[in-house]
Amino acid sequence: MRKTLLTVLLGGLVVAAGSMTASAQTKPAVQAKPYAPEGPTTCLTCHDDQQQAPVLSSVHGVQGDSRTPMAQHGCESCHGPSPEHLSSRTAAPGVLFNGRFASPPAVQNAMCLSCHQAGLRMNWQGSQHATNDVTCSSCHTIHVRKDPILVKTTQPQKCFTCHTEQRADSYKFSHHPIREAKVVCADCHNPHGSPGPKLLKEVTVNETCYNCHAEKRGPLLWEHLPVRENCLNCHTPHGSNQARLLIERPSFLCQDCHANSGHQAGIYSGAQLYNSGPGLPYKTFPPTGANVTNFRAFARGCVNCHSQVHGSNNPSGAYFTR
Amino acid sequence: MKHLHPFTVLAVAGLATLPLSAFADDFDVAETPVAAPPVYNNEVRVGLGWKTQSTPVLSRYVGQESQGLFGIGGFTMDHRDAWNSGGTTYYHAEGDNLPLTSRSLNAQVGQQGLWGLNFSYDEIPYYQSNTYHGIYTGPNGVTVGGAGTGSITNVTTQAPSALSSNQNVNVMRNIFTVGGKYQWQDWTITSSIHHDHKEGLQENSLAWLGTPSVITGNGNITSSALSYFLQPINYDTDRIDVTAVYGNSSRMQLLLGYTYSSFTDNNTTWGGYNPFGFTSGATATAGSAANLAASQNIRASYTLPPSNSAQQFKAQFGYNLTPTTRINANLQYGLMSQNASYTASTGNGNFTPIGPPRDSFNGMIETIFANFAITARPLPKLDVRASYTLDDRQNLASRAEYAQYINDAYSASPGMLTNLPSSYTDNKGTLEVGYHILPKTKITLDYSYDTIHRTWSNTNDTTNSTVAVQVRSALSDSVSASLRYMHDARWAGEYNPGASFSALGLTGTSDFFGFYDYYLASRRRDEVKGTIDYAPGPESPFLRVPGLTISLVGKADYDYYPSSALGLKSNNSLSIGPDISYEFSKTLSMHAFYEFQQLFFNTNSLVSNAVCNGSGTTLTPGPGCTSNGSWNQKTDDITHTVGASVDWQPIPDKLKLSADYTLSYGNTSYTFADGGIYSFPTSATNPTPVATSGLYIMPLPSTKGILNSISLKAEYKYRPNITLIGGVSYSRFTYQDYAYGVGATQFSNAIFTGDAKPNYSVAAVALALAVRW
Repeated sequence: MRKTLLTVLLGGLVVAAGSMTASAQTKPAVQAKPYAPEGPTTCLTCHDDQQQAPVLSSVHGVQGDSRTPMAQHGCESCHGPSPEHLSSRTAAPGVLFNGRFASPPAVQNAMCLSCHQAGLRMNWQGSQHATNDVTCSSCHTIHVRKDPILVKTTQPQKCFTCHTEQRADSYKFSHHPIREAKVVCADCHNPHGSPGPKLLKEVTVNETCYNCHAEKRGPLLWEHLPVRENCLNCHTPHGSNQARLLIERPSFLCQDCHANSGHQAGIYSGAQLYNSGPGLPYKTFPPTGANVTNFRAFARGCVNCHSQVHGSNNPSGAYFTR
Repeated sequence: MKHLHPFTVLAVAGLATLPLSAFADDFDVAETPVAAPPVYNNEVRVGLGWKTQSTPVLSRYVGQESQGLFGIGGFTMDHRDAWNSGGTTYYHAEGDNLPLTSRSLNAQVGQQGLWGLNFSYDEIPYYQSNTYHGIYTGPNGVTVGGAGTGSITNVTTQAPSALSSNQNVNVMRNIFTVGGKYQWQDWTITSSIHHDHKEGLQENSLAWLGTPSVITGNGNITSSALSYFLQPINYDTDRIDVTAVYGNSSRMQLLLGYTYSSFTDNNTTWGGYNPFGFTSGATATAGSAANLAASQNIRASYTLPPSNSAQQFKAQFGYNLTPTTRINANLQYGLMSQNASYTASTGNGNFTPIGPPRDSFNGMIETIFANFAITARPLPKLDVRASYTLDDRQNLASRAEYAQYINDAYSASPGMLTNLPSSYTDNKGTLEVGYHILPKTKITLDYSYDTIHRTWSNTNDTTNSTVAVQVRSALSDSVSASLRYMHDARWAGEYNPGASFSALGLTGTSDFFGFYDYYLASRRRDEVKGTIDYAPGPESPFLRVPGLTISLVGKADYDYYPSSALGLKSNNSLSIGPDISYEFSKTLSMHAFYEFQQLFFNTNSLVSNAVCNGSGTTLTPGPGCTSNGSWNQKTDDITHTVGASVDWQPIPDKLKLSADYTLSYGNTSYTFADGGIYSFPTSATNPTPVATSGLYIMPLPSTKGILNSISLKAEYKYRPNITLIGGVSYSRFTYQDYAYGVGATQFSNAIFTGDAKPNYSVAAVALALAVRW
């Protein structure tokens, strides 16, 4: 197994070495284009309108910060040197970020990554969004004072543009407060790339969940093994028709892993709900009196008794009842 | 579009601070330069609203549970030195939902490129119920009205002396964060302190006494009882993060980080009195009166989540070997520890229990994470990525035997079980190759191999092999599409259904032969994902409708467990739906979507009361599977979600009208079938399967949740800096669930919550004023 993994890694190294060699051998000479001599003032002669000017009020417009586009080559810091566009309005700028003539995703993203490659963006290359040609401008709006993707009330709608399944999940009975703007996508995910699964902020699912649910972290004396390995063995984080974000209702969820003599493998069907017995009409729900039977079919099912389902620290808690 | 919770749409009017063109980023050139209008960076929003019904479910996260008047309040203050002044000072402060118990505040100040400070405060309520009925007055476990313990004297005709009525059950999170950053040359140093206080009550339940229940022919519980209670929540989670980041614009990037997190539970135990007066079986003492008295001398020893802490050291490295080749390394080392003092093994005061082997757990988890990746473009059309990931979790806690007093019941010879400090190690390698077969068409192949080694598990090793192919293409200027197919095969090595139980010390206990834990079982997964985007612009050869965007996104996956004769046999999911946006003009736009989702589970199991050999002789219960019959259960969970919204400015830049409608319809059906009524052989020497009599199975009623909500909003710009905002919303939720709405005393041997069904039908109207300067 380890040999297979090493083979994969070595294969990547060989390809990378080939890429370095190829790049060194074939890189053509490129004559740099000139930037506008007066920087942003040149562009603002024409683009001084409601759509473009707000960028000057944003973090990108602060000339006093030597790292910003406006402190360097102005608009051309992001749109690339554009002498043809200065000569003729019909010629496009060097780099366009949207519209019919938008530049290729790699070109667009390279402009942003030239300044924003560290921190949260370190694992962008080869990440799921990068591989699917998602551009920075697909999510970010630059020519505004405040980027809507950085605002809790507007961030989810941008993500839902592509992640429609998660949008539908957010409307279900049991859900994280996404549409209430209390938890947003970036609270759990790093869309710029992550070494963990599903672009999560932390390296594992459980560590992401423990950020807000530290009471589940443990370790505990009596561990419930599937819980400790991955919260998603039982839960679905975006929304569920079942209570408590469960993927399936107890007892059926529990019976996906528990089948033993005794009550574990019992059938909690409608027969447990009604005055039971062959031939009795089952439409007498709700049942009454002492004939009512198995409360395991009601409320939280197995968890009615095994309420310490995430694990227990009680010396007598091996059955997760204390 | 704003498909927010309707209450939030009315309560949070802060979007007025964004320019109308906030979402437009078109390339456009004015014929002549236009002077920019004044920019209002500060805003105050005040208003009032009225809500027609009190319901915790609607306002579960928003903080307006009660019927009647509610306030709207918020503000934004924003300043940044003029872009060409040379100054870098900025500050920003905003607050939302200030009159509600879901308020938020945040503020930042600093000099861009040098230093910055930030502060935030957020309230997140969670309203669970306002119709809870219980026998305990609150978190200290005293029964209502001072009624004595054991007041329910007959488990078949229970009659608690009193029940609390319509208690509010909710929790509130108060989250404070203070942080700062400092720019030193190419390094950005950030630190933050995060404090999360969660307090309130949460519904919980526990079983009392009895042995593990015996299923008789009609499913009656004969020896244990159940009661719900309100668990006190009083948690403090504190986290300190320190990070140093280097190299935003250089070939090499580096990140060093440290995180310390501490969880404190300010309660350790819930010790409510046993409310049931067992007249038999409570203790070894014979006689009903004595047993009743003994029942009244029992409190729960219910352990609440113990305090714990965690530390994490993180290092990330990235280097661009060439403009098209990059290497990444992500390393993380963590420690999680827990050493809270043990609570009592039992609250049963009728005997002296065998104590635990030590006073506390002294648990420690060590985690190591390492990820190495190379991403390259060796040829102009060829992308390659290879990575290796190690995820290692080692449980360093020691093992010991603990006496088990199940449900605080007395036992002369309690079972002695040994804890399992489970660990796992996950090794994963991936290789991905993408090639542009055409200028705008790319095909990607990827393969991954993943092995997980576990301890104390029913299977010590599982391996996953995954292969996927994806095609992405811009089919034309107006159409783009992608299609991905993935196949994953998981093998479970040397599966032993009794391994975990045996390690615990539960001898003679095992899952049935042929049953596999679904998350460990061998599995085959197939997944298909596709998207189509159609934007028929002016150059489209067919329909030319500028401003129209149609997309279709779909995903389907199917899991099959080939080795599992029993257990989860298969499950699948499907989601698909269109999304349409149309901008009729600069002043009129609409958006609509539909999503169909399905989750399906198919499970087999056995009912077994005893183990018999082929001659029908009953053996002692233990591993094996002679049964009254096998059964099959299917869950079919279907959701339809529809949304539509319109934004219209009948008077451009003066009057804006918005309408928003959402429907979410969820229906889950549960079907059962006689699963074959044969007993399964435990080994090749077992005799021929024996058909048994049919099981009595009845269907379960479907559960349904239907949410309809509509909101209408108008914004009238009375002056350039004064806007009147008015809105009306209506939301209706109906919930039909056989397991919900159980009467508190409906069962003879259980005290439930008596919660009303979470249905609601609520209208709200609000009026607010936004003033900017």
